[in-house]
Amino acid sequence: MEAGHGARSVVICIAALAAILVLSPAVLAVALGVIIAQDRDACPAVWTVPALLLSVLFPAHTFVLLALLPVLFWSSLVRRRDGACPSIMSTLAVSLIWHAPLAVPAELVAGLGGAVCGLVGWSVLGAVRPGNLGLLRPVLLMVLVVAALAESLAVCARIALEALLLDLALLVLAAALGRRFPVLAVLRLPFPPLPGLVVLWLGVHAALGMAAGVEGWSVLGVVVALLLGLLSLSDILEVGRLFFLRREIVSGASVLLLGAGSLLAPALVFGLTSPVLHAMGGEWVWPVWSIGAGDGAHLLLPAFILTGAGIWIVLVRPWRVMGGVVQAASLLVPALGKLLTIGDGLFDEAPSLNWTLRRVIAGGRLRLRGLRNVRAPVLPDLRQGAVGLWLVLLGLVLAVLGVMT
Amino acid sequence: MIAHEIGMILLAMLEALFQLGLLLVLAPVIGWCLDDLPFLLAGRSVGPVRFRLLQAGRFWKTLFRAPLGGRTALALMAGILTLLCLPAVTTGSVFSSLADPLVIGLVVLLGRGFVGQSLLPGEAGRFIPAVLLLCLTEALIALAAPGTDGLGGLCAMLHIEPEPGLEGALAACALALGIACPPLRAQDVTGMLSGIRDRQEREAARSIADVLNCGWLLLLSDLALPVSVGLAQGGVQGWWLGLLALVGRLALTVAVAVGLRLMAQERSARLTALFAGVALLLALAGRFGT
Repeated sequence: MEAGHGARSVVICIAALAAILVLSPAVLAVALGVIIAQDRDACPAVWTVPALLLSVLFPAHTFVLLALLPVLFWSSLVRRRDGACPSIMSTLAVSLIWHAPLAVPAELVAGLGGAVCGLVGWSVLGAVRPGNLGLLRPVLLMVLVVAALAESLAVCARIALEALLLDLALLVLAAALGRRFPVLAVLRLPFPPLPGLVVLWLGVHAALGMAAGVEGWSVLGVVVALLLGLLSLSDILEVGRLFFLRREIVSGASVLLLGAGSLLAPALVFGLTSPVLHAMGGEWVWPVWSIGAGDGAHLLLPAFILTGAGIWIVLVRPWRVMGGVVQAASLLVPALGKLLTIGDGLFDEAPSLNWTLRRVIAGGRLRLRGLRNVRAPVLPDLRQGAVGLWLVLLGLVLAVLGVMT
Repeated sequence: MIAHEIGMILLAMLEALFQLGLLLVLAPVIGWCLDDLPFLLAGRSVGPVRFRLLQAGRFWKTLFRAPLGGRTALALMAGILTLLCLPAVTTGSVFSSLADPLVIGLVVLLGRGFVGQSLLPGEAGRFIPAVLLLCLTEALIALAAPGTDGLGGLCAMLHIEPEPGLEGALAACALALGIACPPLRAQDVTGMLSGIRDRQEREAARSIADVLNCGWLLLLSDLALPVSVGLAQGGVQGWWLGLLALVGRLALTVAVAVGLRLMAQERSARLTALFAGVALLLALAGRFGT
């Protein structure tokens, strides 16, 4: 069993390396096929085989990329299992988009947004928890990088790349060491001192940097920002599930290490990847004290963490007892676990539609049936929705204005 | 020259400490307004503000004698950090460069999660729209005023170059936030404290909830009326004006929060979506209209 597992991991790693490093579409398709074949819950062959064939015939087209996304993320998002290395699938998707200069970023964003909304809506209606939607965030950030490079906004591309690298580093770290140190998953949460917040903040600012720099991206940038927020919220669900499984292992010392890690992790990741950031942004940067967003905003994360930690220590005054800090920090664990259960009730039962909505649905069905033998038309009473109509009309006018300018 | 620099930094630190002290004194008053003002308006008898202030005073006195537990300390830390960082009187305090709306909003939401042992029923219904609205706010600021650094930079920029589209959008965002995630009420805190028997701990949690409410309302008022924050270079007169504007702004926000509660419009998904849409439209109109 162990040997089989190890051999499978080696095969997956070699195939992933081949898929990332070799630029030929045929090799890529074969490597992807090998990786998919290792997974029991993989995407059905009805979809996989045509998608891989299309990726060989029309490499780097938008629709091919969108068709390959279900192939990569089927087991973790649709089957909701921790399949074969979800973080590798994320990395693969990122490299696929990086190697596809022909793809249209706006269509990719629309596809990703539709996929996320569809998955969330499906889990709400089906009363099951969604899978690890956070895996899609590196893909979204890579789309931003590609779009910014296409518009030659080097700084914006660098900011999106910083967020992408930090996110991927957190994903891989949690996947590699998650069995022994389950606390590492907490680093991805979007709460203030943790690096997950840096990812969200940088991502929002990169999206809006695109919106400020490129005309057509105003609405799209806001949509990307909201999508990033939604993905961060789904991270809370996922981390809450992991945390619930291994709550007893988490000790006070590991909470303190987590604090130190959130102080150092962004600086460490940005330092290690500064050659990549240099190649993308054109200047050497190593944001340690203040993380810039490229549009003038700065996140003074260490100042924030140190001020907060100072206040906390003064309030707790741990020097009175031996090991007081660890004891006080261990009190945070159950509260954090409780906070992470915040979204549990959402997916417990399918929403019961209220009577107004049921009446609308039933009325619509009746009206559709009645269309066949219409004699005297009766207008439906839609006075309640007048505000929505005005908003839609205003939005149309503004969209026209936006297209004209 | 160096002495002048040091003097300026000391002044900025003094201002931050003054702002913290003032808001901590105002917190129980705001808590009283949120809890008891609706009853007072309905003609019922309520306890005077004095009791609330005395309760807060007792809390701070015990804080000097005995340390807090880790969880409550984290909640209070979130409240104090919020009150320190947000621009209140002027933008000249030391910490005002840390005031990013998304970060500060998430700090307050984190602190709310740590006040009691159990979560409120339906807390997810406040938390999720609040996080999405905070993302929208951050996005609208970056869209309509690129180049500003947090709330402090935004206030300074709006003094120099007024931008009605952005101000209207931010006011709508603040209103949507206030509707989607209202401040904690007394009965909410009671619900959160269901597992705690110790009387002192319960009173501490109530005072901490007051501090967090004050931070949340200050964030909303800063978003709604950013021009009313004074500038750092405003001099003595500007500082007094900023102080007056702070009190007026907070009073207005409290009045709106109480009004929303009296009219039973809190946590209405339709209104939240309406104001978020209005904010987006106003910001886009401001961007395309110019």
